[in-house]
Amino acid sequence: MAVSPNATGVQGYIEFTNPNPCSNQFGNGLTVEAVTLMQTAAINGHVQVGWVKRQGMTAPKMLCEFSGEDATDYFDPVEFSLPSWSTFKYTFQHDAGNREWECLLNSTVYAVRPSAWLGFQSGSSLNAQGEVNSTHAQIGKMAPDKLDLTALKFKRSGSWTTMNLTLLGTVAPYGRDEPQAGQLRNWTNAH
Amino acid sequence: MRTRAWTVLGAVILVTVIGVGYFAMGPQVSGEDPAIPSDIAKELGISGTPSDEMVVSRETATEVALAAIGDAAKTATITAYKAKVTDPKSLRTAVALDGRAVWLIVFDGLHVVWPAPAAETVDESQDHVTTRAFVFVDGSTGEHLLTMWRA
Repeated sequence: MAVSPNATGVQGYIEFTNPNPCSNQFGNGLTVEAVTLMQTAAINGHVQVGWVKRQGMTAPKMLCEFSGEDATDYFDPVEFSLPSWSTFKYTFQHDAGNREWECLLNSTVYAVRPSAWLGFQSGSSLNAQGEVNSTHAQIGKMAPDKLDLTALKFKRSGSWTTMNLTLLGTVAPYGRDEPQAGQLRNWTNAH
Repeated sequence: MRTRAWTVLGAVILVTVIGVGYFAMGPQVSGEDPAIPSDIAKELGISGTPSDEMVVSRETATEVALAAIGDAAKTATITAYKAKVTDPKSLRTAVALDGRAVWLIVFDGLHVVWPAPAAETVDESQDHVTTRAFVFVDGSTGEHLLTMWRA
C-alpha cells in the first residue's frame, strides 16, 4: 500500500507455520512470510522482517533484510533462530535518534544497521506478503486452513496506524484475502 | 622374498591408516586454521582469537550450519573457524556475541536468489543473489546464533 507522507516503520503478527517448500535444481525453493517497508512503489531500497524457510531447512528462521537504495548497492540479510514455534510480532523501524534501522522480534532488537548504509530513513510503500521462489511451493497453509498475518500496522510521526491493504494478484494454486482491516491471510490449494 | 613381504605388509598398513583417517574426518570441511582470516574479520567487523572454551565439535557445528543454509549449501565450499568474538560492532543483535566462543562456518560458492519485495509491478532486475554466507554457531551449546548472507 502507498502512504503519504512516508512511513518509518512496519509491523505485524505473523503466525508460525512450518511449510514444505518444493525443491528446484538450484536449491532455491523457499517460503517467506513478511512485512516490508519500501523506499518507493518502485522499491529501490527496502527493509523486510518475517520468517523464511528454505528448501532443506528443518524449520523457519527469523529474517531481517536490509537493502539499500540503488546507489548504495547494499544488501544485507540476516537470519536468526526463532525462540519457539509461536506467533510473534515482527517490527522494522527507523530510530531517528540513533539514525539506524532496527529489526525486532516482539520487543527485542535483533539486528541494527546505520540508515546511512541504506541511504534512506523512510518509505512510501508497504506490504504484507507471502512469497515463494519456486514454480510450485507451499506458502502459508494448505486450504482450507489459512495463515494469518494480523495487526498489520505502519509507523508515521511516531504513531502506529492500521494498514489498509490492497490485495495484489496471485498465481494458482495460491490464494489470499483480507478478512478484516489490518489482516492478511494466505494459503495453498495444492502442493 | 622376505623384503617383498615386508613391503606388502607396509603398504597394507599404510592404506589402512589412510582409509581410517579419511572416514574419521566426517563432513568434508576445508580449513584447519582456527584463526579467522583478516579479510573475513574485516568484512564482519569482528576480531577473533582461537578459543579453548569450545565444547562443540567442528563436525557438529558444521551440521548445524548446514541446516541453517539448506540445500543451497550442497555445492558450496565450507570452511570452519573457531573464535572468541571480541568486537562485534556490525553484529549488534539480541544474541550477546561479545566474548562468546563461536564456530564461524563460512559457505562460499552459493547461488541463493532473493526476489525483490512484492510491489505493484514485478521487477526481477531488483532481485539479489548471494554467493557467501557466514553462520555463527555457539561453541558451548551448538545453538545456531545467526546467519549473514553476502553477494
